[in-house]
Amino acid sequence: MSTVKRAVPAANSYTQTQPFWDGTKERRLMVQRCNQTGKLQWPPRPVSIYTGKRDLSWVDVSGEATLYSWTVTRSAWPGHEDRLPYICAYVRLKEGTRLLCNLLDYKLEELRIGMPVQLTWDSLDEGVPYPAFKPVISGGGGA
Amino acid sequence: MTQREHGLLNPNACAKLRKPLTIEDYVKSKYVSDPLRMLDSVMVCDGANGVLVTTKEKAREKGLDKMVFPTAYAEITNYKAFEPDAEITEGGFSVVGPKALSKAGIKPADVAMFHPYDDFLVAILLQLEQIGFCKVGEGSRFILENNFSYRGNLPLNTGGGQISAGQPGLAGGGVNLTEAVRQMFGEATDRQVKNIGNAVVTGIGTIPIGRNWSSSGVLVLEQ
Repeated sequence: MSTVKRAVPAANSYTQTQPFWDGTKERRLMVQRCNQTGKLQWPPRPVSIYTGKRDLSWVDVSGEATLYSWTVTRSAWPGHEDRLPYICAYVRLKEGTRLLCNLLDYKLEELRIGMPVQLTWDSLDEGVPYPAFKPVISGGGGA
Repeated sequence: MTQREHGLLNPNACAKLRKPLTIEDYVKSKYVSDPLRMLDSVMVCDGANGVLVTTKEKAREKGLDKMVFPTAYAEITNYKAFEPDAEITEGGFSVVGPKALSKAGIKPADVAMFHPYDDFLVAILLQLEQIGFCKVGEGSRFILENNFSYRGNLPLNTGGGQISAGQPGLAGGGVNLTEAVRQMFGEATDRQVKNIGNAVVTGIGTIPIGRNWSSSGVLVLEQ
């Protein structure tokens, strides 16, 4: 049994994030959307990075993305030694914007920049789901 | 390797870092996060540094006859911070590097000494590309083809830089600045560079989301 502690961050500590956390309970990834430009942004902020206005809403994304890049962590964040090695990656959501996440269910030698990845769910303490991504296993034939 | 040799010649460098380093030591050092190793990363330490900034006249009044002149400075923060699709390796130096050099009327080939902010070695590679010493994508080749020793064709961080002298917290930016000034004063003793006509010193600050750093500054010093 892992001894790693993955505390659940407090919602709304510096800006509104409750819709994100509510979404995780239903395994939906909620991302902020600038209403005036239609563009997505991550991480959540008090204003749109495109207009500077507070005219934002939260939308449910498909979970489709591509792998922008990744790194394999080999020296653990203190307390996370049991998770080694783990991957921190940037994925680009199909709907736009980039998200920092862990990768799960991967074979290291098969990772490629630009490969399709899809939303999956990891857990923090207390069984709280948290979004992660995993490579899409194609049905057959290669790239 | 070159910076570590410089550090060995710098009495102000942290004792813990003043040990010779071989390629084998480097290659065997542990990974933190692929592809970065521990030895690619700066060691934080205690320390402080300072320079006196004043007018020529005031300096002479105080009996100070050694001085260097900042002839250009350019800085940018939050470069493309609000473009989520910008390349992670794109940085503000691509704007302020050419801007500062052009203000000073010099080209990269005219730079006598380069003292780039070196919290991580990869930052040096990126700065060489963005400031214009070489093309983007050719940083590795440029590093392999040039001699950054204090006796080489492009002396770089001749006191060891932060990588081999230590990063004294927020005073880290001053480490390479004071080394550049010391060199230009002709006071670098065992590691004195011959051609000290000018120096380019840089600074990096703040870690944003999805990029390597957020603040980039370039300073040109001349005799």
